[in-house]
Amino acid sequence: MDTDTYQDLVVRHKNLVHGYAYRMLGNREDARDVAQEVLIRLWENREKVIPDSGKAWLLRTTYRLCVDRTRRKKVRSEVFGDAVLDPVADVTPNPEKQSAAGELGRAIEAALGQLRKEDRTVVLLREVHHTSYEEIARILSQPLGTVKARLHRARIRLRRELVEAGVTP
Amino acid sequence: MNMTCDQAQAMIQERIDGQMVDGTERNAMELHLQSCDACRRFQADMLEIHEGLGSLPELEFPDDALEEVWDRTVRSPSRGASGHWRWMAAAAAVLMVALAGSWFGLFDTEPEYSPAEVARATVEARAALGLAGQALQRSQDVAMEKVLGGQVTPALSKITIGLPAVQSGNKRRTGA
Repeated sequence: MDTDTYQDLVVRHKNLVHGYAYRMLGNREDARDVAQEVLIRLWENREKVIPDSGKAWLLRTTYRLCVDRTRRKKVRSEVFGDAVLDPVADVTPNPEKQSAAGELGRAIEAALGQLRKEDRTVVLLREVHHTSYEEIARILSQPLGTVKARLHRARIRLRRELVEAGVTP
Repeated sequence: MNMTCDQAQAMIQERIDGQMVDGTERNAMELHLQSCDACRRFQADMLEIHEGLGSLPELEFPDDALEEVWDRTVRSPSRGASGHWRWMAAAAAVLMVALAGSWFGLFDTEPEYSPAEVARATVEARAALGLAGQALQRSQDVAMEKVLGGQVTPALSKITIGLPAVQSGNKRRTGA
């Protein structure tokens, strides 16, 4: 991968990497660190990474670094509640998009934070980053059937969280 | 074909994900939905959650963070070499300096060094040894990561001593 291709991949996917890391970790500073590390690792591995599978490589690496960081720093999932909703809004530069997300979007964001890490990651990969079942299976190193089952369970939990929060989708 | 609520709800999710659902199963699901309020509500909720997740705001990667990435990658002076090779080059450089020092030392029959020079040389030699040690450690770490990451097959796995030899079909025939 040459320098131009690397820069193109970074510009195209930097927000995806950052957003995924943020919603996995629930902490803006950690998300920024992880996103930077992922993008630097892409440069260090540029001779091995195939540009066409760049997005998958980035998501896979982000997932692994988030898991490592969660283990190391013992980032508690409880802090991923309402407290992170405002920072999400803060870093959204486009007010139109922000308002389009609406109340349901905010409620979903909060409910996502209540999910277990394993459930949250499949929902984020599938629903927010539009990753295929097969690619999620590769990213998480899990069988396809497990991924499907986990995704289905995670959505049901998400629905339950919304109902408990008094939000009827 | 009667369908349970669990089966119907799994199928509703697969349909939301754009998965192909078999015609017979789809008909059974539609039949189930006609008679099941709970699953109809489930389907409506799932569709709304799906749309809500799909329209979550994008989180912008801060500009200053991106600048730092460029500084450490494409703008870095050592951008041509990967981390591994940089460490190897540093190790080689330290080794060269050490060898050159000892080479000249052989021909220096009457050294006239002041105590201060000897002290400084000692400090520098220690620093060089420290760097060489770090470089070696780093190279070992990188090599170990590659082995553990499956990028390199360790030579150990190729050793077949003591294992029964695999005979080809031809040899077996010849032997018989």
